[in-house]
Parts: sequence; C-alpha cells; structure tokens
Amino acid sequence: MRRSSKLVLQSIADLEEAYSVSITKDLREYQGKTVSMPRVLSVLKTLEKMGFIRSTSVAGSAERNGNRKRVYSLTRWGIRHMETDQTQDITEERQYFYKTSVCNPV
Amino acid sequence: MKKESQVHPPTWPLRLVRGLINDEFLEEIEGDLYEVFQDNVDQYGVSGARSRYTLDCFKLIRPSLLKRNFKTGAMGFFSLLRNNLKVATRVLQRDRLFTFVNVLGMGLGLVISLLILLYASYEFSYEKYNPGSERLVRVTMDYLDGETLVDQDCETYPPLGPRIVKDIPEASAFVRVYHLDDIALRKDDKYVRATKIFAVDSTFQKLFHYPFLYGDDSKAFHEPNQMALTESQALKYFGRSDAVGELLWYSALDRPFKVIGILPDPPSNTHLKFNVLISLETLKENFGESDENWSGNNTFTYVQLNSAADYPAFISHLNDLNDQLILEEKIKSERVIAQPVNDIHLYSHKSFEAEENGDAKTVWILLGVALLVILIAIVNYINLSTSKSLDRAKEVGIRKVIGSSLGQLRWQFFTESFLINLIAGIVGIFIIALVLPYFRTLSGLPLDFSPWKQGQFWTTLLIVLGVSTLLSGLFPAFVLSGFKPVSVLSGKFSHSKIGQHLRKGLVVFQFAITTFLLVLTLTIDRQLVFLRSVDLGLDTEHTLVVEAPPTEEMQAQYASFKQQLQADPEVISVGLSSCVPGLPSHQMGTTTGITLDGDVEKHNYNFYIYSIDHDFLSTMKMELLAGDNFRDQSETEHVLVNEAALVLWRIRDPEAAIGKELNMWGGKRQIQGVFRNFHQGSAKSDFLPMIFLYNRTFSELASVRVHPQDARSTVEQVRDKFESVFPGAPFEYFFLDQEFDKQYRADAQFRSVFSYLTIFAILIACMGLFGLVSFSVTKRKKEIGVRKVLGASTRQLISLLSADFLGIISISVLVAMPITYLLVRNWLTSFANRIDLQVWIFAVPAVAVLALALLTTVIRTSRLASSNPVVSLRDE
Repeated sequence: MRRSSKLVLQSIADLEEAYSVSITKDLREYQGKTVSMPRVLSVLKTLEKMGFIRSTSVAGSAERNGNRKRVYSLTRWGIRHMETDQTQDITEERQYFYKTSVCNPV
Repeated sequence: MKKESQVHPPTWPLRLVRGLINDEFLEEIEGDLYEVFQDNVDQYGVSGARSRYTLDCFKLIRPSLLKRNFKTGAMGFFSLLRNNLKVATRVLQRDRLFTFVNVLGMGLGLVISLLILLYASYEFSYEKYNPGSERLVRVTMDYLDGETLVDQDCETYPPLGPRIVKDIPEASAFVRVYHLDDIALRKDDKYVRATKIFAVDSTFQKLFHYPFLYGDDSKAFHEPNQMALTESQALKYFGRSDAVGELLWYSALDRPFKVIGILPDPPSNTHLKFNVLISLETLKENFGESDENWSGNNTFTYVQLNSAADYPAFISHLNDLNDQLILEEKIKSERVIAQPVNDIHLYSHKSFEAEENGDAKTVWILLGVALLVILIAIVNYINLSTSKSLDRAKEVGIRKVIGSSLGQLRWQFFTESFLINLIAGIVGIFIIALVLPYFRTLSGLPLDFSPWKQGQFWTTLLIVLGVSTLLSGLFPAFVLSGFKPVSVLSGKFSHSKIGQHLRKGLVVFQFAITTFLLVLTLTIDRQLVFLRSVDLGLDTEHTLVVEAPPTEEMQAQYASFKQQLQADPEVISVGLSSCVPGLPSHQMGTTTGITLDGDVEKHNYNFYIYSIDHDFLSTMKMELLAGDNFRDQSETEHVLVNEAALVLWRIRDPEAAIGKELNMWGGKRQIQGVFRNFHQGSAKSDFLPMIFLYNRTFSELASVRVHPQDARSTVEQVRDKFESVFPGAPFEYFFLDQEFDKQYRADAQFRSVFSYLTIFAILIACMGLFGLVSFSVTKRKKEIGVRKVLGASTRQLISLLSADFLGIISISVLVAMPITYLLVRNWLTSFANRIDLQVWIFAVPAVAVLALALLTTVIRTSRLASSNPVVSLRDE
C-alpha cells in the first residue's frame, strides 16, 4: 500500500491530466508496474482521504461514453509528503502536518 | 480508434457494479471502465477486452468503493469481521498447544471422515453410469426344501426372460447374459486367453446403456458368431480402436467371429464388467442352447420395467407367474424372485455372481466409525475451549462492559472455531493428497480414482467443515458468552458445575468409543487369523496350476505332458481337474435334483460338480473317508461325494454310502468313495455339497505339486515341458495358495482400514485428554506447590492428579462393554466358522485404554509434580 501510493503520487505529479485511466497507463508504461484500474481507484480514494491529493469532476467526452471523469492534483501536504525522504523520522512529518493544515485540507 | 465504437462491453457486470458501488463515484468509474475497454479492444481484441472488463468489474468490489450501507459506520460488517479474525488469530497464537492439539485432531478427523465418505460414495455409485438402471431388475432363483431356503442362484433358465415379458405387463424388455468361462481366442497364429466373456441378447446395449463407439447398434447380436469388443480389448488385439469388420477365431469352435462393434470400456463401478461380448444366438447354434431349456440354469436374466414405480406390481405378477410355471411343471421347488440392479453390488451375495460383490454392512460400519472419529475430534475442541473458559471469562466480561452484544460475542467464538476448522481443512487436504495412493490400495478403489476433480468431494468438504464448525463452536459460543460481567470481574467467578460435568461426560463418551473400536479391531483381527488357520481339508502349498491348451487336438496329448512332468524328480504328483479350490464358484458346474435311488422325497439341492482324474485327490492331499479313489481308466458311472452331500441325502455314516446309486442326469451313478469336506472358498462360508466325476483328459486345469523349492525355477521347468508338448499354446498358470489368498482380500482390506481408523481415533482421543489434563493441572499449580511444601512426594502428587481422570476412563470402559459385546457378537454371526468371544478380547482393550490414559496423564502431571514449588508460589 505504501509503495503503490508513492508511485501513484509520482504519477499525479508527472501527468498533465491525472485520472484513474491515465495513472494506470503511466504506472504500466513509465514506472514498470502493472496495477489494475480498480486498485488505482482504491488507492486514490485513500490518498484523497489522507489529504495528499484533491480532485475535481470534469465533463466527459465521447470516448468515455459521455461519463464525467475525476481529475486529481497534489495538495501542498502531498507535495511535502513526496519530497520527504522515506528514511526521515515520521514524527517530523507529523509535526509539519499539524503546523500546515490544522483542519481537513479538502 | 473510433472504428471500434460499435463494440460494447458486456452489460451484466456493469449492473453488478451499479448495484454495489457508491453512487458518488459511479459515473466516473463507469466512464473509466468504458475507456479502458475501448483501449483493450485495440490491444486484445473484442473477447479479450470483454473478459478483462468483467474481471475489472469484480475487482471493483472493494471496501473503499462500496455503497454506504455495506459498511455501516465505524464498526461495519467488514471491520467487525476483521477484528474478529484478528482476535481469533491472537488467541490461537497465544496458546500453541491448544491450537496444535485442535488443528491436528480436527485435521485427522476430517481426513478420515472425508476418505471414508469418498469410499462410501464410490460403493453407492454402482450402476449410476446407466440412466436406465432405476427400472432394471435382475431375476434370480431361490431353491427351497419345503419351507427352508437351500440356495440362492443368480442364474436362471433361458426361456424365463421371454416368458416374463410376455406374461407380465410391467416388463417391457429383457436381456439374457450368459457367463462363459475364460476362452482362448486366436488372431492369425497367436492365442490369447480372453476373460470376462458374455453371450448376450440384442437388447443388451439398450438396457445397459453401452452404445457402440464404432459399428451399427441396430444390427448387433441378432445373428450367430457376432462379437463385440471393448475399446481396450480392440487396442490389445488389433492395435487400434476401430476394429469393426476384423475376424477373431474362437478356438474351441474353430470358427471365425466377426467384430461387429466396439463398445466403451465398462466403468469400474458396475457389477457386470465385460471384455468381450458375443451373440447369444451363437450358443443356440453351437452349444445346443435353446429357448425351451427349462433344465439348465446358466444365464443372468435382466428385465426392464416400464418405470421404477412398477416394481411392487411386477413382484406380485412374478409370484403369479411362479404358480403358473409350477402348474406347467416347468419348475419344481425353485422360485423366481427379483432384485433391482442397483442393489446388486451391495446387497446381493448369491451363488454365481458375475463378480465378488461389496457389502453394505461394511460400508455402513465404516461410515459409522468415521462419524465417531469426527465426533471425538469435535469433542476435543469443545472440551479444550470450555476448560479454557476461565482465561476467557475476563475477556468476555470486559467486552460486555464496553457494550458488546451477545450476538457479537457469539460471532467471535464461531470465528475462532471456524479458523481452527479452516486450518484443519487445509492441513487435511494436504494429508489426503499424501495418503491417497495408500488409501486406494487399502480400500480397493480403482487406480484412476481421484477426488480432486469431483465437485461432490469439494461440496462434501465444505459441508463437513461447516457442520464441524457449527458443532464445535456452538457450545463455547453459547456458554462462554453467557458469563455475567459483574461476577467475572469482581473475582467471584469459578468453574461452573455444568461445564465440569459436561467435560467429564464427553471424555466418557470419547473413551467409550475408543474402547469399542479397540475391541472390534481385536475381534476382526482374531477372527481373520482364525479363518486362515482353519483346516481347509487340503494342502494349498507348493502347487502350481496350469491351464489347458485351447484346442482339442492339443488336449489329446495330455498323457505325454503328464508323463514328462511325472518323470521330473522335483514333481511329486500331477492331478487334472475342471476346477481347483480357491477359484470362484462359477468355475464349477452345478446340478440340482440329484437324489438317492429309492428315495421317495424329491428335492432341489444344488450340487457342485468337479471332474477329476485319479491323481487329483492325492495331489491336493484331500482325504478319502470311505471307499476307493478312481483308478486309471475308471468307469465313468462311478462318482465320489463329500460329507456335505451325504448330509443332504440323510446318510450318517460314510461307509454306509458306498455302493449306493444316484439318480443323475437321467442315468444312475454309483457312489464309489466319500471324501472329507474341503473349503472351496474362504473358510467364512460353509462346506458345499460336492460330487466328483471321472474325466482323464486335460481339458481345464492341471495341478502340479512339487517339492519345496524356488517358485521361479518350478515355473520354468513346467513351462519348458508345456511348450515342448503344446507348441504355440499360451502358458497360463497360477499358484494355488496365492489364488486361495484372494478369497481373504476383502476381509484383510476391511481389517487394515479398520485398524487405521482405530489408531487415529485413539490418537485423537489421547491428544484431547492430554490437552485437558494440562489445563486442569495448570489450574492446580498453587495447590500442588502448597502440597509439596507440606511434604507430599512426587508420586503422591501424580496419583492425586491422575486419579480423577482414571476414574472417568474406567467409567467409560464400563459403559462401552455391553454395547460393544452386542455389536461384536452381531458382526460374528455372518461367519460360518467363528471364534468364541472370550473375556480377554474385552479385557485387553480395556486395560490398554486405561494404560494409555494413565500414560497420557502421567506424562503431563509428572513435570508439574516434580517442579520446584517456589516457582509456582512466588508470583503473587
């Protein structure tokens, strides 16, 4: 979970329009990880709940059969989380979190 | 990319997604799915994309995406389940001994019950391959003497089949099946001995459901000299399956048979297994068999009813037909009776069965024992988990105080028993995979028998697991969850009286079963040893039996074969005969209605006929009680009879029988000698009434008794002589003692299956006792410490701790004895020769059970009794 959430965050940072399908493709093609779309969706929901990313709903196109799509972007907290080295102490992250976002960031 | 726009994903997975996924995300997810689908169409094609789409839809069913009502708040269904599982895993990890004893006990119990269920379902599956077997019945004959039943014979008169269909409206078709002995077939110049050959009517394929693989069904078995082979036989003779139109020579008739069709191999679970079928018309043409033959009963007759529900009506009409046939003087003291074909394998034990049948009693006994074994395993679980109740009481109290409902607590305990059973099930599957090859040979299942691909096996596994989860979880769930939090947490709680009585009762139950199984095992073993030690009335050792060459020209040279053998110093004697002891009874001829000349009373006993030469009795070491043996060139009007035959003619003294005349086959035969009874088959059945006729040609079998020496060299010597006298004939032989041992195979199998069952039952019960003792002694740790400090010796302590359990075990032994005695006595009644039930057969298992229980408790208590009391008293 931890590893795949890192990868998904990386994809969101890299992509121009980050949504479930494009993230899945990006993971497969550029990060060499074959992850199923439902799993990506589930990771996205978790990340959003944790406040690492935020999302907006965009009107759908014909190739989506007219259905809307949800596009994700990183929050400040998410960017900070990505920049943090994995080896760094968790307490530091936590302190930063309390300092920057007192309430729910969404 | 757009060119595929007319392709649509399957709709039903989408409906599933719509039903389950949170509406908040639904539209976006649908869009995602659609997009991925269109991409996949380019990459994997339409069907590939469709299956990926379906798979993705199922993968979407995960907690974070589900509708709200599937995860109710903080303690929703899933999180509760997860919590339960986590707690259960911790409980199991905390007490390794408890888990180990339970998993192993439950696993072994599951393995045993599953294996036995597999065996039983195979035995019950006989004839199920045939969709019409429900309405197929076999008619057989009962021989009566006044009101007493003398013999039951599977084989009937040939005119009976047509007559039944003509006279009884419920019968729609019949088929007659004539069991031919092994015959030699010739292909070009090669002789092959063919076994399991039957002559059948043209209705055979329809009634027994064997459509031809090759060949025309409609033309089969209408004319003489037609032959059909099973696929494996066709491969054996011709090297290919489609052998229609080929010729095989029937050597005894010296006539070619045309192969008109290839049948599928009969399944292993049918009573009528065949290799070769020939048309019944052949017998009429070549052996003088006729549709008006009311004296030779040699055919199996099967009748198809209009429907299975007509069976009672058919029976009553069959009774009327019996009366009619007696009036017509077609039959005298015989009665024609019927049995459903589905019942043959397990319930029919008549003379001349097509194969040795199974026994329903054996199957039910094994099923019962399997049930007992799994009950013992379940009792283990209940005992161990209730004895741990004090440990869990605090947990239950706290949970209740925090606000857990009764239902949630019960779920918790069921989760634990489910987890134990699940692990046990997985362990069990591995054990089954390991022991399956041994089990197949042990129980006589076919070699290709494998449970893994049978849906039935997996459903049985699930059902057994479910039931044992329920049974083993029920008691802990309802008793442990019932603790009152106030009494538990205030420290006033102690073991409930009910729990203790229940545990004691269950231990009594376990060890009563164990005692019962031990006594039964011992009885079975003693009985079989006894059967093997019974004087058979002949000597089967060091005797080689050679089968006669196929053609009659060759048989004429028997004299030189016999002379050459007798010239060999290693050979003691050579006897010729039509049958030898140990062969199945259909190898013997039978004749009814042989009476003493001058007897007024007519009866219909079945007499078994051998034809022998003058050296046969001495070769077999059979004893002549009175009169003389045949001499070389004896009169064919003279016969030898055995004691069992004399009983039927009501002659007391063998000497008195000499010179008496018999009415036989329309002529008179003189009794020349009386020989001692011998066992044709296993000693578990009674002696048969026998008549020996004189025949000095080598038409069937030659028995060669040799000095004790290497078996292989014996075979080589005899083979050399056989091949020099009968060039080209196949040399087929067997050793008499080995053939005779086959009679005991089923019993020996039963014995070994049963002993394994018993061993496992004892093992499981002892493991349970071990666990129980260890819990009860840890509870008394402090008491032991105090007693030690006050000066109790280790031995005193051990006896103090064990006495309690030994008392319980003694009670269970006492409880078991009366039931065991009745059941064992009942089992023995099916044997003609049986052991007396002596006291030691019951005493030895009783002592053994007590000793085992003592050993188990002493092993566990001695460690505690010899420990330093400071350790147990220190922590306060």
